Amino acid sequence: MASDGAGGTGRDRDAGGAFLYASVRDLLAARIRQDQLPPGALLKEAPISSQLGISRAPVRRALALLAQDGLVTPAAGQGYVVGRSDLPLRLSPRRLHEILTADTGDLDRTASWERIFSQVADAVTSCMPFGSFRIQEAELGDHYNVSRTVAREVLWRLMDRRLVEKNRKSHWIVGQLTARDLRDTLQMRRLLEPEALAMVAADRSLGGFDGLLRDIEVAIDSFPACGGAAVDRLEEAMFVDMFGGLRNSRLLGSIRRNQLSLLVARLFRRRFPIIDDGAALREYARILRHLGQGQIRQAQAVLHDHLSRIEALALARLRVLSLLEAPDMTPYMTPVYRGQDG
Amino acid sequence: MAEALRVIGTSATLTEALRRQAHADLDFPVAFEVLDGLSCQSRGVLSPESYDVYDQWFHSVDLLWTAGSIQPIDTARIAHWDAVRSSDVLAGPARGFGTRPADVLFVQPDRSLAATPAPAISMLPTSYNMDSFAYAPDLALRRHPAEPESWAWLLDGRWHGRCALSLDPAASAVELALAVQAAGLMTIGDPGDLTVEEIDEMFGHLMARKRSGHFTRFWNSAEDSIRLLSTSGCVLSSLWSPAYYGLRSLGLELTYAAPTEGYRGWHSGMCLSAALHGDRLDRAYRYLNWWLDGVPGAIMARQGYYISVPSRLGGTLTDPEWDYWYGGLPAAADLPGQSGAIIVQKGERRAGGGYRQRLSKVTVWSTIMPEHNYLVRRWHEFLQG
Repeated sequence: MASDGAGGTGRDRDAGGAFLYASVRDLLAARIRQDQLPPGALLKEAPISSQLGISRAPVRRALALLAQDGLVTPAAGQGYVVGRSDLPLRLSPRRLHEILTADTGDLDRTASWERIFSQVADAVTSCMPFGSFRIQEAELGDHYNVSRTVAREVLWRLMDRRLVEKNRKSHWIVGQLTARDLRDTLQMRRLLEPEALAMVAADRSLGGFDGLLRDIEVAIDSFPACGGAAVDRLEEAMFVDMFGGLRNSRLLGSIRRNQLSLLVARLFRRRFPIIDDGAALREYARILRHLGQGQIRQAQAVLHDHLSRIEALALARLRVLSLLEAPDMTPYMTPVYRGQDG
Repeated sequence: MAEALRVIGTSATLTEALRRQAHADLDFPVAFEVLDGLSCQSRGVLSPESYDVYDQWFHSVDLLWTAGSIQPIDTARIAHWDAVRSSDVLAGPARGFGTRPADVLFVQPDRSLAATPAPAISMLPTSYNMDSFAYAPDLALRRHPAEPESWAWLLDGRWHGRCALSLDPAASAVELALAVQAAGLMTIGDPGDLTVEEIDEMFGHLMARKRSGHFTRFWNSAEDSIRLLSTSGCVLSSLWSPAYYGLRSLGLELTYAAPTEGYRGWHSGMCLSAALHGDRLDRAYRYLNWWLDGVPGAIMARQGYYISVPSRLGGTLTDPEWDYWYGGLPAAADLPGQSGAIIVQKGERRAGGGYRQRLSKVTVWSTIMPEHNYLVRRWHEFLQG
């Protein structure tokens, strides 16, 4: 969904950010800096991989990288020690467990899928206007250096967002974005988002929208010189971040599943002028001004009208996208032709 | 010497006769770049800096407008605008499915395109016609007695493997929708706005015929279709009027069908590139005005096209020409085509009658339908399948 794709910004896309070894390295580095892993603590592949529930290879690579960075040094016997201590400090399995899994349980398999989810979602959504594609589980796993189990987990989550489906042959399929998808999801957005907007407003102070409003006003003042990337960011703040804190996770899930029109606009802006986005920015500003004044119903009405108005534009933009070549495929996606392996 | 005005379009309107006439009439150079239809459409959308005037189909204007590739045309700068407004296509009752030219003509205050009159337009309406298919005497021999001409013939097994279609899905998809419906294979609600299910079902029928070898030939320009029909043993092809008259001038005895289900209409026109300004923009307006002033309309008539301002043809078409091309009456004399060669013999009548009669039988206009994106992908699968 657009929200996931839009969420796959810089940090997630950093080279290596999706790889398990990188997240192990990040976790250990953080624990060392926080002094939870004190100088001299002995770090060995086997206990760490056991505590994290992952294989030893990524742990081995993570430790080697930490050694390159000078955070750990090879121990006399096996493994590494934190810092440069000559007196290895052995941690009990229980203590190691507490240190590594404190807070969030960051590095079980769930963390693995989370780390690549936004990238896969971005790749999938970027292809949706251009046809139907099959995703190969094994190739997906290879591409991100994760197990097939993790790859499958990502695909199930994408299916939950209705970005992929399983066909009769149990193949994972990215279906082509159609005009009907756009019409239907915009209808859902009109039903869901005004309601969610009222919930968000109830949870925030009246001044809680001032920062975003200022950003939008700046963009309006410099439109269209503000550029497509600025409009992308503002739409994400307006429709993704805005609802991110909803306590009703079912409502949030439904909203995310139906924001295909954001995707079309974002893909369109990558290639074409933003001439028709000025009206939307002015509508966003009106919504936020109403919210700032506690005028919830008026804000809901403007949002509803906005979501009605953009339907014809979204359909027209989808037609324009049909002229473009499909983007370069990631190796785990292959085009599906009807009557072949679809 | 001023820089040449760059016009992109297809061979349908950017003819040699028109180029010579522009050279003679205008005091600035005009450079025609002739492209096939889909390439022209892509250029129009993706590279507005590469042309000044886009001379193409009305059903593509929505793409160029949405992409921000063209600028509004000020109707106050079009000398014969009132006549264009009252043309039979634009002033008459809205008729037919698909992209009716009037529906995407006027620029509204919110930048959308609609039929509500406004001072600016997206595209200046110029030529139009009603298209169908042409067939050879071989086919005529196999026709049942009193069998009406029908779009279903595109799918007919009696001439298996000897059918040709246009490569452009905006035209071919609506023709095939008329065909599958006429053949009784499926029911279609609106051939100009197919649903996903209708597209899937239609391509189910078409793919089966493609695999069995029924559809083997496709053309992408009038010249291409002339080559195809004159050399390949095709007996039936969707065909544009210039190609039909071109084939007749080569001696082929083709019949242009007036299908019982009605015609596929199309309208062409001209857009101004968004990148155009200053003196070059002024020259572009002069070129647009020249187009409506009578001589280009006569040149277009000699290949079977109608013009949005027929009142200017009084001094440029002879009476027998007007009577044959527009009136649907028997030719009072042999009539020349654009090159001067005789393409209509005395006594012949244009299939389908006079222009108002033919216009009244437009069932669907060529269109980029809402599910175009999906349709195009299925179309490519069909071509490759």
